Amino acid sequence: MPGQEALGATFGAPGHGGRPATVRFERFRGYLVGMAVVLVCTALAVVDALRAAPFVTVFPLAVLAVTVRFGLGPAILTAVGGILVFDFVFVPPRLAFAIPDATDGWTLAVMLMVGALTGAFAEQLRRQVQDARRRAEIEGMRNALLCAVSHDLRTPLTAIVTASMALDEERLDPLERREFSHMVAVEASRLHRLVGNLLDLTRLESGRVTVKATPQAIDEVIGSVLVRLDRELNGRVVRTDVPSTIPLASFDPVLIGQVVTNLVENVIRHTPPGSPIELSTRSDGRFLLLEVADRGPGVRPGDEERVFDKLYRGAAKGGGGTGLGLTICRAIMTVHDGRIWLENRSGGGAVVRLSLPISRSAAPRLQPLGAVVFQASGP
Amino acid sequence: MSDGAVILVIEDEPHARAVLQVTLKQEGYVCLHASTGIEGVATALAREPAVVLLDLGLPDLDGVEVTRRIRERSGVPIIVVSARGEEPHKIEALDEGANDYVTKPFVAGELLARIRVALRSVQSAASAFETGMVCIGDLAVDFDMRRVTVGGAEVHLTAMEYRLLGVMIRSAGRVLSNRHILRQVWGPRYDDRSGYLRVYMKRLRDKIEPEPARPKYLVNEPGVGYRMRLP
Repeated sequence: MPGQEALGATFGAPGHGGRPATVRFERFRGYLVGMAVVLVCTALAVVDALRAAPFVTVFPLAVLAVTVRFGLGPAILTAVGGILVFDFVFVPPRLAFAIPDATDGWTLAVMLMVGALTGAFAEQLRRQVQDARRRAEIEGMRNALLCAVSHDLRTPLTAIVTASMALDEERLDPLERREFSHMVAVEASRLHRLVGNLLDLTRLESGRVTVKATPQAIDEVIGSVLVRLDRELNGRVVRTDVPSTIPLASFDPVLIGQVVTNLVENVIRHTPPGSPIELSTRSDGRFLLLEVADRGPGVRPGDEERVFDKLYRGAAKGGGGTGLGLTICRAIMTVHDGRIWLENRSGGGAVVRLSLPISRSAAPRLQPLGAVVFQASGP
Repeated sequence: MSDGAVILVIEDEPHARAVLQVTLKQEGYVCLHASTGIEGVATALAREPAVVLLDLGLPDLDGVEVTRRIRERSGVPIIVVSARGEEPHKIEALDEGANDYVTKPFVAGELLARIRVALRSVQSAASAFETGMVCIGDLAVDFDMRRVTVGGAEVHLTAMEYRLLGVMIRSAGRVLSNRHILRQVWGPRYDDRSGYLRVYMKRLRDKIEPEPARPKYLVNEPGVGYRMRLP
């Protein structure tokens, strides 16, 4: 069954828990480089007739370089390794870890301090540079968003102002009057939705939304969304595949309800009337997978990830979307430690998949209570 | 269609009140209004409206208290109008006996649909009281015979499922909070066992719903509770 394969592939997808392998490798490489630096310093000194001077001068520089490039951990390794090697190779008795007199002890202590101080300063500097870069990035994104949003806000607002000023005139005939008031209604509701979405998104992204995650049944959410969107669905074929064995998962039903609502509304908005919607859920015991699939035009190949960007709208403009629906979905999934992604389907159409972790605490404990209640309610 | 039913709007914000009044009058309802909770309670009890629309954010009394005071002496359907972020109050108001809620901003059609449901739920409750028999769509419950049929075919329910269905059907059209249903069906000691309610709701749906994944009768209100939907 092709669906089953897809499920296996998606559950195996990276991103749920654990750092990406590249980050771990980078850190490991830092430590390797640190050790290599110590060996090179030692080799330099050995080549230079076993004099300590080159080692002592190169050593702080090496620690500094390692810190800037790889961070504090590898730097500490470099410093401590360097001092051990120095003690072993240069401090008499040679080839032994011993500190025979106060002068040698003093030299080692100074080296340790130099190592620690350069390390600490360099680390601080590195953090500041990183923070500044991140802040600049956020600032840039915010400015771009503000530009796009103010355009999106101003367009309907301009229409509303123009139309309502025209309505104030005496000379309009009834037909024009109706046309203008319709325009006000349409544009105002667009503005209304956009502002609502922006507020939702801001609250989600700033962490000001309290997620009331309790053990919930996904079929309840799907059922209530379909009932609420009954009129918009307008007799479309809705195929649901929700096995009764689907476990409870821990989530906020209002927020996940909003995700499912947005996804179904997207299908209604972007596919021809009468084309079917398929909703299905599955579980592998660790994650709950929900799919909302359609037979519409799909998204432009390569845009599968971009559709989640703020204010992204499909090639076919219009349709009345705000360009924030999927962004909100992703923000909601993120606060649930879940994922959401889109794929084009073979045979046409798109499928949005979301996965939610089934937390252990969400497992139902109904058996014992069931027995008690049955006794209490017996005839 | 509305037969000039009297609707009381308790709302302190003048613009919102004006828009509501225009909308309701267009539909043929007679509109009363109150701008404070105290005035609202007094009007609800003195003028006996058919439905009360109650804004939760009033300056003097909170909506939950207004609901409580009206419910002490009247069974008039109360529809709570709540803003985002007032969810806990909304659920409390439902616990105190409010019938339904709409969340601001809503479109006129949505509100009018809720009002129609509220008016009908009063009628169906009254007829159930007289005959002991309630029909909702294809679903029929005969409370005297303890008999449940769907499209004429008898459905066998366990005692607990029957009790749950009874609670839902006697308040058909109303949103009942999880806590309210749990108290009514299982008793006050079980009012935090919403997982339990869910399992029974599912079993009941499997027996009475033609398409349980897309329920027709027993509809979940996310984060709030359940409603027996009137067709």
